Amino acid sequence: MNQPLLTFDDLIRGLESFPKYQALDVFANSVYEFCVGAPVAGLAKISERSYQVTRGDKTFLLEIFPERNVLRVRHVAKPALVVAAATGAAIGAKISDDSLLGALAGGLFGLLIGGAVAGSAGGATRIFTLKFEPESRQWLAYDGGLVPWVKEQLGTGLDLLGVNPKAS
Amino acid sequence: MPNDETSVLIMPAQHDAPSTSTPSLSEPQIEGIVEAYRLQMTRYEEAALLVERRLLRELRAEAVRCLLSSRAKHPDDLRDKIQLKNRKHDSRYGLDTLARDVGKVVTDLAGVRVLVYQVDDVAKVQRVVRTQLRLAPCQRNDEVHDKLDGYWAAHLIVEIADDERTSLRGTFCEVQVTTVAAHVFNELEHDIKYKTHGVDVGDAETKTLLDLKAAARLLDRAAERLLIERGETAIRTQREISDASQIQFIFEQRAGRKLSGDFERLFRFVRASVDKLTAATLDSIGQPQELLRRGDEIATAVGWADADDVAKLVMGLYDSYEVELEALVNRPGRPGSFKHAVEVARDFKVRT
Repeated sequence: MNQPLLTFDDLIRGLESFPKYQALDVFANSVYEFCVGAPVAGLAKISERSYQVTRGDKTFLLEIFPERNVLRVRHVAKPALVVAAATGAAIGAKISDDSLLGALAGGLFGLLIGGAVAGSAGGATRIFTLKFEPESRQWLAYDGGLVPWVKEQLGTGLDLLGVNPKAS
Repeated sequence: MPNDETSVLIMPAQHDAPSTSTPSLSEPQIEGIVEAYRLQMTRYEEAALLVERRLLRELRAEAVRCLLSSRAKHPDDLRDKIQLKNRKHDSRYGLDTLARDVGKVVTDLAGVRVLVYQVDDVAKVQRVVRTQLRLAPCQRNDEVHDKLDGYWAAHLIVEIADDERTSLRGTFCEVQVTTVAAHVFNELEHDIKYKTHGVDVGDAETKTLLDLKAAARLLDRAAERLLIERGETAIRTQREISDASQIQFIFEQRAGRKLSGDFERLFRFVRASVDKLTAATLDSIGQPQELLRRGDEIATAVGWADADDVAKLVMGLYDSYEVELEALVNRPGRPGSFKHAVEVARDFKVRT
């Protein structure tokens, strides 16, 4: 049965599909497990806003920005020291119910975040906007009219260059 | 004024040589032709609208700022035209040919007007019409009218192609291209000279028309300068680029020449690939001259002789943005030179 929202595995798959990028930002209330409090295998708490998930030999860091309704998932080289096991409900509790815009307005969007654009004196960051298609469960490139809005909602105010910047 | 090499420059009409052997049309005959046209006016309205919409889409992709309008010729204007040609004994306006298909003789029954802001864009529109539509198989289907004391515009006559609506198949449509400033003059000049209402045009009016034509030319130049200055301001102030025309301007400044292609598509791609799109970040993505050189190299290697500049830029970007470009063109959508450029770059990379 197709989920109308993203699953956590969809998130991981989206990030893995674009290995040049270090992180994928989505609207936190578009992730199924966090909305319904479903379990996420291997989820562990690192800090109040950071969680960790392992998939095979890979480790992913989850960061919650509840004031902006943004969830970021990114690669990490080594697992961090965990505080305790965690559930999807624990993350879901941090997500605001007011943030309907993210998931519902026009689709399920994602923002891939890479390193600094090479030679960019202004600190511009390489990004790429995506849209998730629930029917096919695929991440598709998105270049439509909502790109400025997606960039503003998912990218602005966050420390983009904190994502292990490297020249692209 | 732009003078495209492939257009025919028309000086005061030489084709309306009187022919004493051609019988004149009587008023009832003219009225019959007009009435027959009135009954099929809808066809010409739809043809004009079809061409307008097609051009709107294509010109938007090329980031050409313009105003478009379309119309079917009013029956009164058709009557006036036939009467005028009849008085001049124009051999093309015979009863048989008009009765058979008035649209093949009066080629502007369906008309689209394209008003551009910049003089240089006239040539761009002409190119789009020639490449994206089918020029009609008739005489004088691609010409520029540039009379010293009068009208200035490019005229192209297109034919609705076989693969479009069958009810409109074969219908001719005239596309008139001119600048906003020239249009003001053209309209006033036409009204004064051709709709005299029994009052002759005086010397003072003729002189004022000349002044108006000169003013229109000055306005064209000023509009062009204004748009250039606006573009240069955008570059200087590092303002975020918000539309395709700005990206086109910046690339053209860097390349040192006018560029062709689907800048709308390119703008959307670049906007989706950088968090803040300014002139500086655009430069960081790639130097236009180098991208064009690389794209030209690929186009030449595969024999793509008529690759436009945006296609070359895309091919030049492929090495750095392969994954993103492939993701974009793998979505369902209509084919175009942007998608073709990605496919060509991919094949070239595989081969080399």
